[in-house]
Amino acid sequence: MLYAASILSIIMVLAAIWVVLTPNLLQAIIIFALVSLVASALFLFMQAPDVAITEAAIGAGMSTAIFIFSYKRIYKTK
Amino acid sequence: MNKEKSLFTNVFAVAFLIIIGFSIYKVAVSKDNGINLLDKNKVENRVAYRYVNKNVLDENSTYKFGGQAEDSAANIVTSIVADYRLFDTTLEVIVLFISIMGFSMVMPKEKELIKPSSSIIKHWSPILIVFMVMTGFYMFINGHLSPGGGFPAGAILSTAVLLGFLSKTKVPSQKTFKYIEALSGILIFLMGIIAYVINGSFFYNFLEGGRIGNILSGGIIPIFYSLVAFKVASELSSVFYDFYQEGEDYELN
Repeated sequence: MLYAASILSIIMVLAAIWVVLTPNLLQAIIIFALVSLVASALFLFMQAPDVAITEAAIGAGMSTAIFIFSYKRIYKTK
Repeated sequence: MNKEKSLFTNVFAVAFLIIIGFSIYKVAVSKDNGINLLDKNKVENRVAYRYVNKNVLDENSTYKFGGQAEDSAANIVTSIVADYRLFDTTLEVIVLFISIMGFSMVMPKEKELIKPSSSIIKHWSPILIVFMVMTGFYMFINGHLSPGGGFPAGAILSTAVLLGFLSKTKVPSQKTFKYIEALSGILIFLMGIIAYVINGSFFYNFLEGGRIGNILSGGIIPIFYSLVAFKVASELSSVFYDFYQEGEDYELN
């Protein structure tokens, strides 16, 4: 359990650094969804299923969709 | 004229701050029943103590009309969110409503064609939507027993709407969502007012529940959660309609 959590948190930190450093906007959005997904798994490890459900639904689902919609809108106006 | 107006605003702000400070002071030094801010209370009188020692498995643990708020829900998080901090939850709903209202005011309305999706999404999305809607409904009906609640349930339902929207399955129109949202928003506050009429405190848990752990043990919590879920789902779904309104694509030459 501890090993899985530490591996997940390392993945999360690396993905978060990737989000900040990448010049590609679409790539950043997709990796940000990955960060949210790993965060929700970590919340589940910390015995907080309520927060994990909310994070998975809103962080990984809703906000990614809204980001991609606005990305397409920006791309169109350019 | 302008100067006088600003002077009036400043005086009003100072008076408002003084009233708020006086109320905080009054609450801090009050000697009423319950937990006061400046008391050196025992651990047994704290709210957290009752939560830690709550026994859900006991046969006699029922929620009665006028009972303690800690016993209204088997899930501790729910009994905090939907009992102690119900004002907080209600105002959160209003915050979400105002932010989405501002979003749809700022967003320019453009009609564009939604491209037909691939056959995989087209054929699998109705099956997935059924499961997502089932999960959402389970989450707010069982919100007082298992993890979940109004907000995650609403988010899951709106994700189901998004999937139907992207795969061009038939989904309700934006007008329907607006009606659902307005109706559930009115009903939430109507429920609070009814509780005020019955007991004298806003959002009092006035329904009688059975044994803790049963599906009908939460009193008004399942009703409140279902209204919150419908409101959140319809608000978040109307965001997608603000981005993409079905019509002719303006980019096609």
